[in-house]
Amino acid sequence: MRTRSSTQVTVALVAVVAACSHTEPFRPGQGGANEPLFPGSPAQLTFNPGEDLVPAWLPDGSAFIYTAERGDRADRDRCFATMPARGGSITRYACRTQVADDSINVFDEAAIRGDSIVYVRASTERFLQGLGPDRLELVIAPLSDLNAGRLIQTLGFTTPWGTTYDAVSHVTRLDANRIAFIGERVTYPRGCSSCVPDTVRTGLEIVIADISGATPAYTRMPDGDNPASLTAAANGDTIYFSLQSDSHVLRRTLSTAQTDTLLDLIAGPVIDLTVSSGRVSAVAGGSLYLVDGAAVTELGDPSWLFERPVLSPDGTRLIVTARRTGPTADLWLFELP
Amino acid sequence: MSPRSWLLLCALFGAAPLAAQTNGAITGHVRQRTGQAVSGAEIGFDGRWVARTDSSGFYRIREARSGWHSVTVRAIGFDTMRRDSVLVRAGQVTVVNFTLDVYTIEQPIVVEAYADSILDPTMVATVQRISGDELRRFPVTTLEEAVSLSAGAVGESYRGGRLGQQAFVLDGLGVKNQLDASTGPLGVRIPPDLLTEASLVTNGFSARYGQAISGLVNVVTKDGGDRWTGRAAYESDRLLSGSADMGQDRAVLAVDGPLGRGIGVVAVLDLDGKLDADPVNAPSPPEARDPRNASPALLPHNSGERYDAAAKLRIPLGGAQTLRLFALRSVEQRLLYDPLYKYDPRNAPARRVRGDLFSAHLQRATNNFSADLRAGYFAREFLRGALAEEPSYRIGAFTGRTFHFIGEELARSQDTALASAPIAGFAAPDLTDRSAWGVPAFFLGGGSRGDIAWNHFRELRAQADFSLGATGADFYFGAEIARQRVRTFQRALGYLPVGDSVPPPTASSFTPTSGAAYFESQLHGADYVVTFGLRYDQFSPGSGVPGSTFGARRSLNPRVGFSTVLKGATFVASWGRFSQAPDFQYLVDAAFDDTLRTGRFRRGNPNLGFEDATQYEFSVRARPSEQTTVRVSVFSKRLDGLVASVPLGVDPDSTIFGNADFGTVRGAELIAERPLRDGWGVRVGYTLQSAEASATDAYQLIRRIRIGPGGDTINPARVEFPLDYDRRHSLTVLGQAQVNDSAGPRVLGVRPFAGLEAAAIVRASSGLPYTMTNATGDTLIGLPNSYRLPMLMTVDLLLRRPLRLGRWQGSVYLDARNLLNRRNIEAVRRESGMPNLTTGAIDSLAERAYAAHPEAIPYESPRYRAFADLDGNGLIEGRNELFPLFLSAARDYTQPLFSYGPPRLFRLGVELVF
Repeated sequence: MRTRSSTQVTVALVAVVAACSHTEPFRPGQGGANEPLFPGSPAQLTFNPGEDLVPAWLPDGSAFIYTAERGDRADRDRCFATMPARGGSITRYACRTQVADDSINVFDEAAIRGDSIVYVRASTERFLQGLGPDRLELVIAPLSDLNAGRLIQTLGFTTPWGTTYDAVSHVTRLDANRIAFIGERVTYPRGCSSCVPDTVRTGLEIVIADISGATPAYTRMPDGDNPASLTAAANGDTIYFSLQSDSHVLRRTLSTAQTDTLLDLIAGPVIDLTVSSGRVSAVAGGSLYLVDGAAVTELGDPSWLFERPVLSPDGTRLIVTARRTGPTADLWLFELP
Repeated sequence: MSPRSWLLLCALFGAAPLAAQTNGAITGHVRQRTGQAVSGAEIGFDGRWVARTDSSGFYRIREARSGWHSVTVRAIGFDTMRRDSVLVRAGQVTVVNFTLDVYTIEQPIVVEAYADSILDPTMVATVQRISGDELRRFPVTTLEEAVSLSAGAVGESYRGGRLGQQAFVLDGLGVKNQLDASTGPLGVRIPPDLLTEASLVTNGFSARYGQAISGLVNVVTKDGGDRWTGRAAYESDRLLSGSADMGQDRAVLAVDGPLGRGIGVVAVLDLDGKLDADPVNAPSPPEARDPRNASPALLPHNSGERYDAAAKLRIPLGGAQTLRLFALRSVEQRLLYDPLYKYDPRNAPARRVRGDLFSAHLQRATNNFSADLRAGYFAREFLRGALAEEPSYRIGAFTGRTFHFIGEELARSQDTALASAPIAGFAAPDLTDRSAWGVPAFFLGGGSRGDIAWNHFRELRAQADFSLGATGADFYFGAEIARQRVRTFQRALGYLPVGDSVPPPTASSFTPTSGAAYFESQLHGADYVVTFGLRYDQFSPGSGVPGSTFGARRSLNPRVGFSTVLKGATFVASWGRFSQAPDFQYLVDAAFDDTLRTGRFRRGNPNLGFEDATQYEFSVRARPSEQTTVRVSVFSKRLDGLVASVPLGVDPDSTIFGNADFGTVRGAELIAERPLRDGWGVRVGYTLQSAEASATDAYQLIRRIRIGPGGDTINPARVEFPLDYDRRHSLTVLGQAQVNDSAGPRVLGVRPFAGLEAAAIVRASSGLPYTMTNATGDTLIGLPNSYRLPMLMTVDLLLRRPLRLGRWQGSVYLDARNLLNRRNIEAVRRESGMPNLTTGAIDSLAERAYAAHPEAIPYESPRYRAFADLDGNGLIEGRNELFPLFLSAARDYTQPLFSYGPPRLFRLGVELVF
């Protein structure tokens, strides 16, 4: 009796022990938000006292990347920040250097296609700053590691047809191996001999570059002289652009080599535009417009200064840089009907 | 003559070797019932006829291995008698007397007396032992824990010595981590189930043994028996919940038995996993948002797993020859909690130590001459750094996978040129945004410290020991030689290229050679024993160490012991000189990172010599009653040639290692014991000790420069202060109790208390010394180690209830450590003398952190914490909003976790013996 009882107790004990699991150690909590501070439309996505610029959607529309000035770093580098499509906390920073160093590094002009990104990176000696960056480069990199990139072109450079570009902007991916951008001249005029110099960027030409080889092959796009803005359709065959001091949005079909006028935003010169899913958004005369078919809607507060709107791949969200009262820009989200 | 006198006399003439660490002896008389001696009787030992009685009927079996044996006596005209279960303990004499009847069918009478190490005058050494069975009965898990119960032990420091001043002897073969014993583990662990017994010898140990100046840990392992037996045990705290569940699992499987042809085998597998391998009894943090607040017991990324597997073969070769083969592999993998990485623990460091030990022992033993030839291979690999990938647990803390480290292959290749560039896989750490407070302060993430440290130590050792017995004297002599191979590699801040504050990687590869020879004799007088030994040690770092100019270093170490029998007591006086080669790590350069993340370069000295100790001791051993024993020892030990950093020129920052420091340890030890009889037993050990260092340390000397009355600058030659392990008072009480099988009430047909065993260990000791500094930490207040930690006390308990499972026996047990859950303070901050920083110091830390990062935190930042945005404007800005976060972060970061000893730990165990 006693033996049997002891056996049963022991077997039961072993079974219970084996079935139990241990207590887990504590884990760090998950900080951060998954929606804007004040949800709605428009919703302010960033509150950064520094600059938040040039957003670009990931191909699947789940998140977007933008250039964020890192106020928490002594070098105030501008890094690529990744934010969920609906806003909230930044999920990833990608910077040229992991920690602050003696240079100011900037990642800018993100253009994403598939799992790669083409962007412009600039660096400047932090304590001996000259006019303009010390080094400016156009690179292509995997999205997973932006610092593992391949140099496409050191800027400035002179094209085969003899034009010299100091910088590029509005970089757009046409497909995996072709990009389009605005070649720019950059000057630093001073109002007076003791005045702080200004930076003036002037679009010279629209350029299409084949970056599949070790050396890029450049083509100058006809009808694209003195451009103000540039974007491309998802098919990679159509380029939408505007010219300086012009209210028209133009369209160039590469396969047919035809250029035509898409629309005329009579409010003023078109300085930035974006196209997606049949919708066009543009900054014209300082205001932000959405063109959906024949309907033209002004978005946001007319007193704000908008830049670089970008429509999500499905056309239902618009993110735009806006300057309100202060000198620095924040990102805003418009949920579109 | 009284029985006691007979006993003593027998012991005198049947002298055992002086602390012959593996073996003991059996002596006795064979007489007829009339008292007449039986001469010429043959004495059998484990089935071999090894001795004959002399004309007085006396016999002696020398070199009897520690453990259980059978002794047989036969003589023409007398009954053959066999006595099983004769216990021999290393270094002791077991007395077995036989009384035979002539041509009788009556049951013969056997008089047996077990070893009396208390009154045995041949026992010169100061030995404190614990058997394998005792280790199982007490609340201890490892051999190290068991040895630390000895008087005079502070963890693995003995009689005031530092770590690494002890040697490890396994079945007579010396094993030592000669590379970094003062800072690192041995690398191999003997599973307790393999033990016959373990002992700590702190003085008077045989000239056979060297490489130690403070203690000798002697381990004797089992031989395979003549029938199959085994033990399987599993213990865990899974059944407990909340803070009582500390994630412990341990499984043991041990078998031993015959393989035929007299071959015996023992094999043990011992697995131990802990989700928190270094648990602390630190208070809960005051901040509710601190993630540790809700779960203060277990620390993340602090788990450990140990795998120990050992096997031993005993192969009789016929006649008096026996071959023993032993193999042991130990692997320890640890994740190391680092407060810097509290919120990004995957980047915290980890460690892996693997040790392999193989040995062969050929023994030829006749009763008057024995020869032991031993060969051993010991290899140890140590790795510390950041893991290449985060491990995942399978069962409890067991990952079942080998840890791999970033830069591991580079370290093994010792390619310092390649390692001067940033090492692939390392990323620079940054102030993490994952802390509960968000602010960029204190806590790191995104990358590890960038360290990789690797070393590999390998040793081939050959050892020959001989003993010769003669009338009135025993002689021992032998020699050993060890060929070692040392390889090291270290790189700090591996995510940065070498230069500026990043020290160059260091690597070394050299092949030292060590050798020793000894002679020892023990002369027996009428009521005294004189022991004399002489040991010669030599080591040479070999040609691979740059800058080595001294060649081989030599040391001659005489040892003398005298013991005599007084009325009811034995008095022993001993004097000895001991030496050990320095840690080889101090011969070569090293690069490492410190807590300030500034890489440091440490210069080695290839010309270091032996560290020495000269010790004399007087002890009295008495037996006040038949069941109680008392041992009192007083000792004085002079340490000399201790390795220290000494000035190199006049720049206090420019130092090199030298054999410059010395010190004195004086103390008294009292051990009173009543073995387990009549249901209870107790052992009390008390140590009073003073351990003073005399230092020539460059930093200390520069600090002690003073202006004399005459205006002269006085440069002190040395300073004196307590040694790190100067524990003044230490009390250890071991108690055992056992209820008989029919005791207690019967409940549901079972007597729950029947056969219940209880063992308790109570430890109380005064605190170790520590050094205080000023608030900034850059100036010492007073001499080093001139302040004391508070006293420590723990109570450990093991309750065991035997069970019977069919044909198998077993038990269930509860192992409780620190039963009273006392919060022992084991360390304090040097600037405050308390575990915590002062409030002012925490404020100051927070202020500095805030001043470094006063920038606003926007809503979209991962650093944003809504609770801190008091005006809800999407920005944490200004002192009112930011500073409280920095203050909380400072409180969090400065939690004194590792200032506290372990909390109360429980384990429930099940054991089957088959």
